[in-house]
Amino acid sequence: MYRCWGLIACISLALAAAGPAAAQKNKAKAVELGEMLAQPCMACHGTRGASTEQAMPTIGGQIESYLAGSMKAYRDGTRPSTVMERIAKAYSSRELEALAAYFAVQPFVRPPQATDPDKVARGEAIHMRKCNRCHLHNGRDTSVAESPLLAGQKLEYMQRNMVEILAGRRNIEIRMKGALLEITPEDIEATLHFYAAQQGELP
Amino acid sequence: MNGAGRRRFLKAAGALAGLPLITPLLRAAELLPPKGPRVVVVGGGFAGAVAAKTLRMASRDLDVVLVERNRSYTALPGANWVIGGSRRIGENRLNYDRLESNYGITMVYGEALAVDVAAKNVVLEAGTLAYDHVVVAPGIGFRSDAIEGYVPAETPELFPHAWTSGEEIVALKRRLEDMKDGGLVAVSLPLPPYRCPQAAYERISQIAWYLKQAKPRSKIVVLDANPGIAVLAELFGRGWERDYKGLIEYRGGQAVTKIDAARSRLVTAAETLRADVVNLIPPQIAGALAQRSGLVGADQRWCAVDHTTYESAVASGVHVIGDAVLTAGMQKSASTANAQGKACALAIAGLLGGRKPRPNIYSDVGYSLLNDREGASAIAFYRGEGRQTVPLERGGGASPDWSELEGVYARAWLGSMIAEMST
Repeated sequence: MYRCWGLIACISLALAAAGPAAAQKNKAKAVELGEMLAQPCMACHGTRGASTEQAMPTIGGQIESYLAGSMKAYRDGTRPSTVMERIAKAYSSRELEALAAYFAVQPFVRPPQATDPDKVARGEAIHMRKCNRCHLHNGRDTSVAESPLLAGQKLEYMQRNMVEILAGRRNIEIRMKGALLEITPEDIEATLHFYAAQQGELP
Repeated sequence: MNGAGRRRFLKAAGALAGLPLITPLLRAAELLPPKGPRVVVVGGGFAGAVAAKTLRMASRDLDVVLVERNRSYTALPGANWVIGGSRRIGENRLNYDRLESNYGITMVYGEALAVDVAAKNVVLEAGTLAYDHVVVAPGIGFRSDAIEGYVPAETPELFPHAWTSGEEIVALKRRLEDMKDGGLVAVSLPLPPYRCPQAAYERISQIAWYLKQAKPRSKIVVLDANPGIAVLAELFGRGWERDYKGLIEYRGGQAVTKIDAARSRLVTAAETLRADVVNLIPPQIAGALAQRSGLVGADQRWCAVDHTTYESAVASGVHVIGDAVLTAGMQKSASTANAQGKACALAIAGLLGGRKPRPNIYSDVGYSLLNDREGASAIAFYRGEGRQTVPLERGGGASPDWSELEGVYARAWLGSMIAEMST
């Protein structure tokens, strides 16, 4: 009996040790496949996903689960798009996950953007009051897996995206829905300027 | 290179009019001693520039040399919008300074005379560049022999094709500006495959948009060698019917076989047409460098390659990318060239690192503008399989209609592609 428990303990220990190593290996494989598949994406989304265009979101350095979820939503038609549905449909779920894995490990590049200083100041206050619990550290913290990074995201993209969210054309978190109900459209616009104004890395 | 290949190379190189003959070429010295495994990329267009950058991103150990004829490049995609007035040509101009400073690519400005496959070097007037792999992105040449009366040195002055540089589109626009209201514009299109057929139908739309604003009594006659609109047919058809009814007269299956440029005349099997402004886009072949280096395949027109590595079917260690590649069914376009450049670069970096190349998925994403704001896109996905690209069964397709939102994305797509190849 003791021997039996001992064996189980040994196997458990071995599994616990192998688990992270195997996961790491799978992740490295996904990133490698993702790098190859990601090349055409960079024509619009920029080198390593660092967008140079206001209409195109930066996807390099974005949270993996958010990227994978977005591409699957495009593919399934549950997130509105012009071209992304036609693009996402070309890939299997495994390929979409590999793309997300690749872009998630790239740096999130935050070049300066044109923003309105008054809106940035107002947006900061609203962020601290309403958004800070999920979009930590001015929208640049990756520890909340469901919350996309907002700091340094392209302003025009966020504005267009927010119109879709407010029109109910996207599935969003219940907490996000709640927060949006409690602030005015002007507040929302101001927070977007605040996030767009975030540059570089944390001090 | 085998004996026949070498003879073909010597003959081709020797036949170059106005360029130094073979004797000095063979004695030419190495221009830059290699600093490591070296890849020479010839041609800094949409395929070549991004291939050079991707090679350096994939491996900092590689010595990457980009050979380009010009210090400044004026991109063709979106240059049609200059005709319609919604873009300035300056936005299409780029240089290679930042590829040099940001990615450590060595730029060599000059005309590549040929790739000497046997000697494994690229021959320039000033000397040679040794390579481990060479990537050739030669663009297109014109089959001037397909049109009776076409003189390569003279005809484009009278009948501009505006198909090799954005600057030529500015010249075409000037002709439209000089034309009287009520004039006739003829646009002649060859049979695919040729460089970006989608851009040809966009060109017609942009000319029509300009005429509608500035010279509304004028007319465009399209003489298309293809039986019908070759790309985004439904959308262009619908857009022309809605916006340019009576302004564009489309005639399919009308190849121009003969011209009299001095008298501004075009001849097809059905008619002789006299126009005030002629935009004649001749049938095309792989660019001159591919012809001179013996890289053109059995069809005498395009370069057959392996569609995983883009290695030439006739010369090992030589990779061909961009419009010069034989791609049955895959549109030649800046987007295709961009995807091929990156796939080829990753394959070469892998080969030099001892890894087996893996087949890739490529896409062609092409945007067009119907007027000054409404855009649409055509997307196609392919998988490289040996000597061919095979269309994917899922994904891709055309926009449901022209829209302002896709017009916004068209501009962002272009801005991003230009930034990607130059920064």
